[in-house]
Amino acid sequence: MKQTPTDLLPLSPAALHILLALAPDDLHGYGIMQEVARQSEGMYKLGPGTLYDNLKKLMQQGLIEESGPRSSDDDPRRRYYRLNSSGRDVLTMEVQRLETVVREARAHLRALNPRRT
Amino acid sequence: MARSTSRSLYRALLRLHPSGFRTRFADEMLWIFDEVAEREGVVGLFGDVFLSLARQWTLRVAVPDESPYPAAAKELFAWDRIALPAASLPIARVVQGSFVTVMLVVILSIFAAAASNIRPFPAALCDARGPADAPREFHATTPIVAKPVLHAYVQVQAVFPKNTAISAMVLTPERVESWYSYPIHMNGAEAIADFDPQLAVPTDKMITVAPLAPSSARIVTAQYDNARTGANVDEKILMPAKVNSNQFGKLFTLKVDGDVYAQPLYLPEVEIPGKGKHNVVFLATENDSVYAFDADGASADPLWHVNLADSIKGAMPLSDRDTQCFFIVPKVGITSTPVIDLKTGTIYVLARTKESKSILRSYEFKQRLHALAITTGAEKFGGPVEIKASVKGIGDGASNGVVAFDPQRENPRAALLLANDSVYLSWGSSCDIGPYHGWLMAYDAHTLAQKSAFNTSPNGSDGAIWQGDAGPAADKDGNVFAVTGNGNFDPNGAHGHDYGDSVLKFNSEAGQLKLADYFTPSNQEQLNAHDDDLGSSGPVLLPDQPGPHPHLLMTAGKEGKLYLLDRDKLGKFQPGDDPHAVQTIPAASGAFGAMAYWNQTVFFIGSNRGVQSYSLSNGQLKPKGIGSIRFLDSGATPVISSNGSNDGIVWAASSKNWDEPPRRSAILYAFDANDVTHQLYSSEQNSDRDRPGIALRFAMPSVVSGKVYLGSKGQVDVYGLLPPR
Repeated sequence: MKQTPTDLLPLSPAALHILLALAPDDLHGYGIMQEVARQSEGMYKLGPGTLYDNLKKLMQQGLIEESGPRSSDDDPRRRYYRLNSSGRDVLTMEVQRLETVVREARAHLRALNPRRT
Repeated sequence: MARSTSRSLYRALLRLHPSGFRTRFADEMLWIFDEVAEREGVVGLFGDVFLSLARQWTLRVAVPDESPYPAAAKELFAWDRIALPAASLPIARVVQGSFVTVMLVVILSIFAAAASNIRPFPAALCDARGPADAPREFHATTPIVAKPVLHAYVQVQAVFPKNTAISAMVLTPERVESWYSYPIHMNGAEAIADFDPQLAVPTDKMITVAPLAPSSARIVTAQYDNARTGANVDEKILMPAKVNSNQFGKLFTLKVDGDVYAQPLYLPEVEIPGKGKHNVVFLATENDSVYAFDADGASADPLWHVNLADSIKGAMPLSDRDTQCFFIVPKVGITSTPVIDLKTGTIYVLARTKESKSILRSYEFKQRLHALAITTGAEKFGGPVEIKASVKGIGDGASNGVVAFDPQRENPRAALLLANDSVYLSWGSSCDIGPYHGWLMAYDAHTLAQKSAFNTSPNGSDGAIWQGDAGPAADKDGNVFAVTGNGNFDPNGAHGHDYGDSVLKFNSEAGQLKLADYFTPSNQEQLNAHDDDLGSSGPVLLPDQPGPHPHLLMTAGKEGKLYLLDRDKLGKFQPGDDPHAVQTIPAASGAFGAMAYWNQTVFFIGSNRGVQSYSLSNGQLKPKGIGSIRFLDSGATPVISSNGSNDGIVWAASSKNWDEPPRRSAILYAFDANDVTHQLYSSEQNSDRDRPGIALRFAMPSVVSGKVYLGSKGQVDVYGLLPPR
């Protein structure tokens, strides 16, 4: 049976951060690591092992793909990755899901704040 | 490590990865190593590559590699030689990966078990040799009279059976000059009373040493008695002259499997099958465990221990995610202080669990009343019994005109009460997460059958009975008293009656919870609107007083007002400035838990205030003194120890601030009950020796037979008179 974007939700934290890092631009592995650290203000850091394990999985799921070298000067070991249209759909749906979670959490925190029991 | 060496090692570790992964990503990972290692070091990179190895070989190898990049070379790792061919069924690879995972878990478990096998006591206290009930040679059945020797001082050493309290008195030809009481220090099978230098007496006096009569002191319910006075007036060892950091301190710690919110209970000389007679302290934890320990620290191991979740398939304590409340973390199992019935040798415990029949099914939430034998922990009376109830009403969460008890939302905090051959249980909320109501239920103490259930807000919401963990009270006539928190107040509703922020009185006819009377403050509406629960503390019933109001009840709420009420005529609701109260006193700080009463004096510790005392004369309270040591927000519940009307000590444990996580150590304080400005002792005076565990909220110390038991995060610390140096 064909997988729909909903079947892939919720995304793991690593997958979410990688897709977010690739949303604005194609990046190589090290670039993804740096972008994830920047986006999370240093709270979430990926090691190479975790990164490539997730890249492999995301490629198998058809959410990202390799985009080829940027220039002939690039280190030949660098490979670039990009978010394809399926990946963009899944990322959009995951963000919508998280918005619901945040809305619920804020409602509960409001309920907690004023009362001491 | 030289950079080239670490690079070679990293490269070798990359080569140990499965071929598909290695061929596709090893070069890129090595390039990242080259970029990062110089600037950030190699420790993190090696940790990551080891994790990657474990993950790829245990989790990922089970899934057929769909990578379009075939292996370029034969694997070097031995695994490659035993790996199944690519055409194998996925199930075989799953088995392969599972085997490696199980082996890793087993190895880690062995290491964890070895690391946790640490006894908390010093060896001398851990090793009680021989059965405790074996006959002992009794060297001091009759008083030893020791004539002073040499010039100025005398020291005596005597041998007594284990667990015998002793006293000594100094005689002059004319009179008894003073009494001393001493703890017994364990020394193998016998107990050596080793008198400290304070016993030294001038040469013209005599000293007599005799065993004390066994103490009958016991703690069978929270706050010592059903009136909830918080006073143990049968304490013969701890006295103000001895409670100081030189002579008093922490003796040992009892480690348990969860947080201890429930007040420790205590019984002397309990015959434990096969283990002899022991003074026993009973502890209950948020991990749903009940423990019976030797109260004198003879062993770090419990006399018995039962876990009330383990006995039910698929059951476990709730988590704070289940309750959606950060007040009790991380587990929520047993919070209310249990109660003991001496007539039947039973301890009643209310435990919470979540249960699932299989990992694929969602959890169900349960609450059960357990009746356990005090000697073994075995279930009695066909228990446990599941808590279920419903009443007619159209209030919050009602369905088809019925309000049902919700075992997930309803939070039992107030202590259990045993009266009228019934066990009384009560409930409030977790962090006001609704829908919830206040509930009070009565269960037959012998059959565990439900006798009655009362909902405080059937047509509205809230009205919790939580009382800062203090218990509902009962008087000699069997009337039961409880105090509710914020909620709707409408005593004349068409479908039922709502009693938020009220003191409720129930009579005991046939075990039914029939509301006989109530007191509601004149400003109930404001209290409810401003989160100023009246029921943040519990009721205290005073001994009979002279004057027009002989039967008085005290309580106080978050607003910081003390109420003195007539139990014979609570007065219901009246507008104005509480004209129906016998007396109200502004205390200037919020009340949580309960006050205490001893010797015509009331003790109160409000939020961010010191110990306050009030003299009680002719049924009226009058401010007497206030200590300078401030307790954090939510104050504390004081408890009193005394020998009759002498040697009164106010004990209290400093809690944590109400909205901070549990990370601050508790502090045990002792004050002179006759002068609360006089601090006798603080566990911070010798913190290396005496500091207790991490503070929880509303912890009440239990003081009995020369020892103080204080619950905290995962442990109970035990204090008493120190061995002589």
